[in-house]
Amino acid sequence: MEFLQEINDIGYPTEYLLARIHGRRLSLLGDWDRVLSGPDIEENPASSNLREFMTAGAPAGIWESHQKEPAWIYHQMNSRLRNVFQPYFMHLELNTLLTCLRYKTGKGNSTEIERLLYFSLLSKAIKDVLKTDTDVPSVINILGKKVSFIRDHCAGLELVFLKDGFMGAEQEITNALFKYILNADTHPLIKRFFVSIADARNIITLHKHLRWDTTSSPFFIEGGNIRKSILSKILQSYNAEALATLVYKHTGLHIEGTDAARVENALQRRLTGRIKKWEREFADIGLILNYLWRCAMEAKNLSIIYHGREIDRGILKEELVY
Amino acid sequence: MNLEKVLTAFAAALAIGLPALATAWAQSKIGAAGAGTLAEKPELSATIIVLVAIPETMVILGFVVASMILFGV
Repeated sequence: MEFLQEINDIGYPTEYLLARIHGRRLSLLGDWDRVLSGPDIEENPASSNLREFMTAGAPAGIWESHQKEPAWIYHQMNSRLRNVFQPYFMHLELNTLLTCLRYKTGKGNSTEIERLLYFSLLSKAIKDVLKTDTDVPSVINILGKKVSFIRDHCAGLELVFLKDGFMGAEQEITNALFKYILNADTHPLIKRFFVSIADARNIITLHKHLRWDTTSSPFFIEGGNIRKSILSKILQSYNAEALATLVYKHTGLHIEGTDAARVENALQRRLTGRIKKWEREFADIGLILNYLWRCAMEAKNLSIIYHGREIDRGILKEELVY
Repeated sequence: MNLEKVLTAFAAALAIGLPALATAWAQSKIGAAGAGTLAEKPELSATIIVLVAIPETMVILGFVVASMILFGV
C-alpha cells in the first residue's frame, strides 16, 4: 500500500515550477509587524494567498489552504522533484493521518475526516481505510502491515497500540517515518531539514519533561544531531542548566522560566533562518522547500492571529514565526 | 581542393550548429520559466516574449558567420 498518491503525469519542467513559486511567494505575508499594527487584525491577511479562506469565523479554512498549496505543488512537480520532496510530503501527510486517527479515537464525526482528506495527498487506499473503517485498532493493524515504511521500521504496531494506546502508536509511526527518511537515499538538503526537525522535537520533548516533571518516559526521535544518550543523560540528572545550554546553542534563546511554546517558537524561527540560508546553497530545491515552509508558517501565524485577536499584540508578536 | 571544401563546410556547420544547440537549450529554460511567470502574472507577456527572443540572436549570428565562411566574405 502506497503512502502518498501516485501521479502518472510527468509534470512540468523545474524552471516552470520555480517561476510559478517566485510569483506566488510574493503573495505570502512577510511583514507581520504591519499585519499586527493594522487597525483590524483580521482584515490584513486578506492580502495573502489565503484570502479566499480567511473569512470571518472560518479558521479551519486556513488549515485547508495549508493542505491545498502543498498539494498543488506536488501535482505540478516532475518526477525528479517529486522523488526529492517525497519525505517532506510524507511528513506533512503523516500529520493528516494522525489527525484523522485522533478524530476516530475520539469518535469524531466522519464529515471532519472527509474534510481533512479532501485535499490530502494520502493514497486512495489509505483514504478508503480511514473513511470506511471505524475501528481504530483495525486501522492501526492495516497501516502496520501494509504501509511499507511502518512495516519495515516499526514491528508490532498493533501491540504497541494495545499496550500504550494511541499516543504510543503515534510515536512509533513518527519514529518509523524519521528512520525511513534519514536512512533512505534522501536529498542532502531534505536530510538536513529533517535532522533539524528531529532535534527540535527532541529538545521540546526534553524541555516539557523537565519543566512539568512528568512520570512517563519521553520518546526521542532517532536521527537528530543531538544524540539520544545526551538527551537521556540530561533527563536522568534533571540538569536544567544543561538543557538551557543545549537550547541556547540551537536557538540563541535563554530558556530560564520559558514555557514550551516559546522554545518551540524559537526553534521554528531558527529553522526559518536556516532554510533561507539553504535556499542560496541549493537553488531549486531550496526555493521550493523555503516556499513550502513559509506557507506552513503563514498558516500557523494566521491561526495564532485569528485565535489571539483579543490578546495584546506585543504578546501575539512573540508567538509568531517569521 | 576537395579537402578545403569539406573543411569549409564543416566549419560553417559548426558555426551554425553550436549556437543553434545553445539557443535551443537557453530557450527551453527561458520558455519554461516564462510560461510559469505568465501563469502567475499574465501582464508580463511582452517582457517574456523579449526574453525568449534574446537567445535567438545567437543562432542568427551563427547563421551570419556560417554564410561568411561559405561565401568567403
